[in-house]
Amino acid sequence: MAQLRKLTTIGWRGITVEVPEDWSVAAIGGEEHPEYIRIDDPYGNSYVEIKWWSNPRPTLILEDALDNFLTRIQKEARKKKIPLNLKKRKAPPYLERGDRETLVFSWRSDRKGIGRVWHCKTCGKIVMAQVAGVNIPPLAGHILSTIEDHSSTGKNVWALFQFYMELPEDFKLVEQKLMSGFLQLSFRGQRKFRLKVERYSIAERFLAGGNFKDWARAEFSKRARGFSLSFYEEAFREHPALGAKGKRRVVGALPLLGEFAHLFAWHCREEDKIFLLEMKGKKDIISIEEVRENIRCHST
Amino acid sequence: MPFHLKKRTPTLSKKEALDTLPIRNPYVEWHKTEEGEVIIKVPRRGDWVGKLLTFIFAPPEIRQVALDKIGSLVWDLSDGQHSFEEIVRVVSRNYKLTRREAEVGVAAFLRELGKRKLIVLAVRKEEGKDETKQ
Repeated sequence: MAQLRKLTTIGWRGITVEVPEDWSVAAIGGEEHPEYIRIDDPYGNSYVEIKWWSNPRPTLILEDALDNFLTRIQKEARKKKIPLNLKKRKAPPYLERGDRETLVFSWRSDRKGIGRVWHCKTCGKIVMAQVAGVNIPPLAGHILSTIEDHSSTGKNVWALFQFYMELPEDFKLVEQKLMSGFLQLSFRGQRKFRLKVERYSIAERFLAGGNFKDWARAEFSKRARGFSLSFYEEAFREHPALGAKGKRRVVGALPLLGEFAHLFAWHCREEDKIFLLEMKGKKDIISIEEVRENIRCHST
Repeated sequence: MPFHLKKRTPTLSKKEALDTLPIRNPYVEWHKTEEGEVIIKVPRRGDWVGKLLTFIFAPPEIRQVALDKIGSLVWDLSDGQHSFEEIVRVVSRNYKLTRREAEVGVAAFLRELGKRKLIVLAVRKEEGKDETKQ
């Protein structure tokens, strides 16, 4: 009987996939030409990789994308002098989805892999995904079937390292810091609206024995220099929380006219993590309440 | 065989690396404070670089390195009885970190200690023999 394993969602730049809970993101790359994510199992035996073209050139054909990838596998095998067994075919009807044109492939050399390549007629993305490694886990087929290339709610899921957030699709990721114990995602919305979402693990290390609100107050003042901040306290999900809002104090140049800053932080005691949101812009594109409501901090 | 990133071939496989046993250098003096934090006494380097630096800067003979809570926990568990994977699990559980976060943090910390010859990693061989590395 197949073993039941808890699955978790990984979401990155509009792509989501469900993987076993102990798998984690090992590589991220691309930035649109094409984009890429690799998620490894904890023992390095197998991994899932997804590569996708958000706005593929009209000349990029599904077959060409796959052939290009398979040629590279062939080259690698030839270099290593390993026999290679490659198969590709049109997806059987039970794997087809109405909005996708799919090809399936598998290969076997010193490692093995199974994968799918498809063109989504709804969002236009071309996605290539494979589960590969020394062993192919029994869940491989399921993992591949859980990959979604667009959202049906108008919000993208950003989920990795047990962090989970949903944000409207028009927010583009401009920078990320993924460190052990610290995670920062910086987004840009319409009209140069900037949003930073940060998560600090092992909060006590950052608080250094001090009070959360003092830490947040100092952090806000550092981040919003030049803004006249007014602080407000409120409990968020029964966690201690602090917010600050303010407008630019001195208008040095016209383009800064009316620029505001809104910061909010809370300390999730259950997970011993601090979440910090920083918004700067001229117009409120999204409220801080909406952002924070769409972040999961602990399981309830 | 990733799509576009080449993996560097590690000396140890991931499984072997997770199975290594970190062991504290038995010649290193250390003690625990009342708060449970570990203080390691690091002697001055005895090689020519150390001698040269001593000649120029006159550093003290013994330098004390204080580990934070997580470092102290890892140091405590580096007794040759716990594998790297077990240490990662304990850190991940105690500090509510994901496995990957704990793995990266513990690996970096052990690498630092290894560089300073404060810790060695014993690799379990298939025959059941231990081989000390680092």
